[in-house]
Amino acid sequence: MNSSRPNAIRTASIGWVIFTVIGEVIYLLLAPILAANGAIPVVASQRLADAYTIMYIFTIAAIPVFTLVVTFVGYAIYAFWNKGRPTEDGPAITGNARLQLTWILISIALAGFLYVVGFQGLAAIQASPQSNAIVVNVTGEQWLWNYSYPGYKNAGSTTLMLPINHQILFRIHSIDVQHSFWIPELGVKEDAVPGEINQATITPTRLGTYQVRCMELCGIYHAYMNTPVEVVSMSDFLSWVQAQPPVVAPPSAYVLPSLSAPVALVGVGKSS
Amino acid sequence: MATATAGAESTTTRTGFQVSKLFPSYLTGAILAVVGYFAGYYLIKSFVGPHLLAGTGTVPGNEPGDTYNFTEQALLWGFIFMAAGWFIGVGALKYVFTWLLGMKDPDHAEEMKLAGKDDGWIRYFRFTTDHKVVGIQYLVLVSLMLAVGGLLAMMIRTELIFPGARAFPTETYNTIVTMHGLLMIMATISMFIGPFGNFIVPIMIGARDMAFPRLNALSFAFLLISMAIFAFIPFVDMGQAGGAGGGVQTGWTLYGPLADQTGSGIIPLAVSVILAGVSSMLGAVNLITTVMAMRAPGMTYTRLPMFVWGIIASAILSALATSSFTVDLVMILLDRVYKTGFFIASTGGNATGVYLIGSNPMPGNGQTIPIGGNAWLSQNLFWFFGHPEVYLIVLPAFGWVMEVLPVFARKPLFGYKTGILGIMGVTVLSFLVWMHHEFVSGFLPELRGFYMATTEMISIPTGLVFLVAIGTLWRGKLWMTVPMLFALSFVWNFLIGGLTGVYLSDVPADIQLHGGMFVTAHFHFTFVGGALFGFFGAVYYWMPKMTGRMMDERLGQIAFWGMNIGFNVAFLSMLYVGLQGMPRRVADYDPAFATANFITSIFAYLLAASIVLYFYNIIVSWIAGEKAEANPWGAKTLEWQIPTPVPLENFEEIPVVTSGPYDYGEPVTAGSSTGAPGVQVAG
Amino acid sequence: MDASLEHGHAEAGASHVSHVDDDQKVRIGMFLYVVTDILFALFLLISYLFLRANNTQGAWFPAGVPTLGGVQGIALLEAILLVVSGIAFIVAHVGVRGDNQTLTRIGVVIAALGWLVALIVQFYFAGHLPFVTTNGAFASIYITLTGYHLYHLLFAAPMMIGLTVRSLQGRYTAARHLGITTVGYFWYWAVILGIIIWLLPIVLPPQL
Repeated sequence: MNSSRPNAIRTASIGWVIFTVIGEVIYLLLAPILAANGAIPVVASQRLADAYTIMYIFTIAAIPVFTLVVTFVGYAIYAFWNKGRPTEDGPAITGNARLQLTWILISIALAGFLYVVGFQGLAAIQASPQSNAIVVNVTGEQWLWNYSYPGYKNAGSTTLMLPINHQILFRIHSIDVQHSFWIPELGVKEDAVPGEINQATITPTRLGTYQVRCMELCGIYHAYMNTPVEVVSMSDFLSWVQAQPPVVAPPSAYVLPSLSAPVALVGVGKSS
Repeated sequence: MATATAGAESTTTRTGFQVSKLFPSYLTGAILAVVGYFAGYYLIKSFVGPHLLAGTGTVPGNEPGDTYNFTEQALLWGFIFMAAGWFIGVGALKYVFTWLLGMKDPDHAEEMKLAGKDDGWIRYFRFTTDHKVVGIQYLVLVSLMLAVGGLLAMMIRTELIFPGARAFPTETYNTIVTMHGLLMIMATISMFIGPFGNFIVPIMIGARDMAFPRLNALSFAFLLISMAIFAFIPFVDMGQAGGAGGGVQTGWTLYGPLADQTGSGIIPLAVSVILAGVSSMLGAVNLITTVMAMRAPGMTYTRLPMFVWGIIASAILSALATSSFTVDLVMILLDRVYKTGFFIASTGGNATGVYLIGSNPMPGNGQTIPIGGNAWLSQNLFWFFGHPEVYLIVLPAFGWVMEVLPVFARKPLFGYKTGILGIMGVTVLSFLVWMHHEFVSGFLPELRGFYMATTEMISIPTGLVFLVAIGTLWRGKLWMTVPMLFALSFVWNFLIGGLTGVYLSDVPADIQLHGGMFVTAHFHFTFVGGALFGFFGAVYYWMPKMTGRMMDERLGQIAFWGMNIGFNVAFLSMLYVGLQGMPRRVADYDPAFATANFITSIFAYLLAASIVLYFYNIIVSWIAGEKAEANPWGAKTLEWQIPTPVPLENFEEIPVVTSGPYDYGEPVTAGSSTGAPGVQVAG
Repeated sequence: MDASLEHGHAEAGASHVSHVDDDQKVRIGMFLYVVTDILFALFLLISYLFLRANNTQGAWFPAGVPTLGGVQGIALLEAILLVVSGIAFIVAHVGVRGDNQTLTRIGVVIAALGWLVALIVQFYFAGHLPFVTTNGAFASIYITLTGYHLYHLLFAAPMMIGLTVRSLQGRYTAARHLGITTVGYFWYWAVILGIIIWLLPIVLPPQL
């Protein structure tokens, strides 16, 4: 029996508290510095700021869990290390019902907490778009993005221009394979699926030039499917969009719901 | 079949190597496989295609001069005939024919001959039913798969060491990514169930063999031919539309319609993965049946070793989830070869005549033809398999860690039933979380809240494993062997993998991180740092029983530290670059990600070098290692109570189990572990 | 290869008294196989529903083809043949459990004949579909489903031939009934799938 360390649990618990405090302090000090120096993209929308707040809260909650496991396992290794092959067994402890129950209850509470935190953000994402949102049709194709603005005489462009502080409704579509439309700085990401129109809303809150990236492997030049996106003032946006040539006809993809007269298919009506 | 039957009749000699023992063997299997491939290929290409199908309007590709379609059809049937030739050649179908023709049922002596009785090394190169031979065969094959997959990983890291693609052309790089993903998935699915599920589990539960020994050998034969076909992927180029060349540029998710459009390598790939899936389903059926029906007297479910629980959970997932992926792969093959439209919404060419979608017939004049397929179908079929599959890989590692911690802490497992609750809770929940892979797909976005909840719930049973680990270590007498080090590193790595997974379960955070390097790093923490390092520890732990040799401890420790330092730095750095916003599976990236990628690549080389050192250790120890005693670790489970090398039917008399597998620290009474005569109870 | 891998211990004449219930073992194994088989069909049926529900292109049933027409009748004929075969199989099962050799033989032979005719009818069915694989989503999934049914009929070939040969040899008794029992698990499921193939276009009309 190992009776030489009667206070093992107390010692490890104190260690856990100390390491947790140290970990939290380091994280709280370091996180803003890292964030300002390129660890995360520039935050250009409230949505993304909220997402990072959630990650921030998660990390604060994760540090005690991490230090708990690491401190207790680390202390066990330090204190109960048997040099060489043990000649006798440890104590025959087969469990501790109260501890097991407590552990389960705490992990349920933690999971519930995470869910509540995440659900707040989800509600904002799921909210239906405002009626005055500027609609932008996004069409993915191997390996570039096309945009059109149906509210502005279907002005078309291959660069994305967005007004600041106004809600944008992206209607995202693909004409070939699956792509994923992502603007890291705005925190909007939605797959472009052929045959379907996906919607995503975002309100940019910071002027600047950012990048659209494809996040779903879409073939040979997937790595190069990046195009610029500019967030400008509303007046700049209006003068820009009115100067764009209209797309002559909307891509066939956008008339899908009314495409009710199917073209004759190859091989149909084979005599039997 | 004629060769197989004739060969089996002629192997009546007692010992030593005879040429007749090569008939049937893997040699005859390989010969018939090659014959089958050419037979199938030219049957379609030169006979069925142009003479029976062309112009009849019954199949696509019947336009005049449209030979390309027949080429891919021919390729598909070539591989199917190849597999058929292989099974006939190795003699796997002999029993089917003897049964079907109403011949005499094989008696025990014939069963033993099939199990390799009195055969020398040749039994490792033929259709042998002994579960221990199959286990060793799996160990070697899985190691080879891991080695090739690791080589592909090093190619990826070489490409990504600096921004600006240099090492490989982009299409080759994408093929490497695809092959790395699928090969590693197939290897890690098999790496516990194959070697240890076959070799160790029947002994652990006190059985003489698996429930269906022929099925067991058959499931290995499936994996072997699957890997042979997998090797074709980079080399087949049937000049398909789009000019993507050989290989497969889809990533391991094989999403349609990209899979319909990619290189011809998709055909050997789909055939290979279907065969590997059948192999794992057969293996799973066999293992579940073995554990349900063949436990020794007294081996109740609450006396099963934890490793058996891990394997069983994994087998359940394998049996229930793999069908989904098989359906997906069949659809890809049909889309590809027979021009169905499962994943193709509509097809057409744009104004410049560039073919845009898949390889369906296309007018190329801007006209769109609706097909009615749906790409979301591909995502759902894939991830309904894909998410249980990640637990399929990790659960045996959970079981293994909980198996060895009591042995090396010399203490009973802390909370045996809690551990089972953890494993089984993960098993059940893993079927309810697959749509968290589709948070940004646009498919039923209203369900995101539900899948967020189930995904966060899965952290509860997973957390129980950590409780069991800490409780078992606490106040034990820790014996720091190499397997113990690997078990402890599992706790560290899987903890990081689990905590980073929590971020991805949350919809707002996942929207930012989805599809990026953060995800890649997260699942490598669970697969590599968790499951794969668990496998390395398990090899070290069971090596004495499987080969009769101890592994070299000093080399093992050097490799352990090299692996863990290399792995942790490489993938923590990858987590960072994922947070910065680097996408997955890109051949090239923004210079802003350069530093972290450089660090990842350098430490990935360290990881690879350490794994090479570990394999060197395995090979050298296997050939010339120190001879192992029957129970070098002083463990209590049944496999350590029988002599090494393990005799053909494991137990002379089936032991009677009278207590749990981890009764350390209790007064030792003779026969408390088993009632078998001559069985020692380790102190 | 390492010398220590040789097992030096021969078991000539060793007793092979088993603690294993072979009956239970084979039943569990076949049951699990049928579970994976049912799951495969289930995923195909779910794909049918999925494609039918997410049919954004207005393309589901092949244009220019009014109905499934004659093949529906062929599917019904096949379902009837399979049901007859399945009932005969139940008779054989009852016969073998009651040690009635005549009943067993009659049941197995009728079941095998039903299977053989159904297999031929299935090929006829495949040749008379009014569409080909390129004709859109319904054609794709329906042909795949019937192809999966064909796989069952082909996979049943060794079982049916073996059962016929062995039951005519008189090898199935009340004590040795596993062949008939476990093939039954598979065959009843194959019959049910045949009925599903026939019912599917009736329950979920393909024409929307």
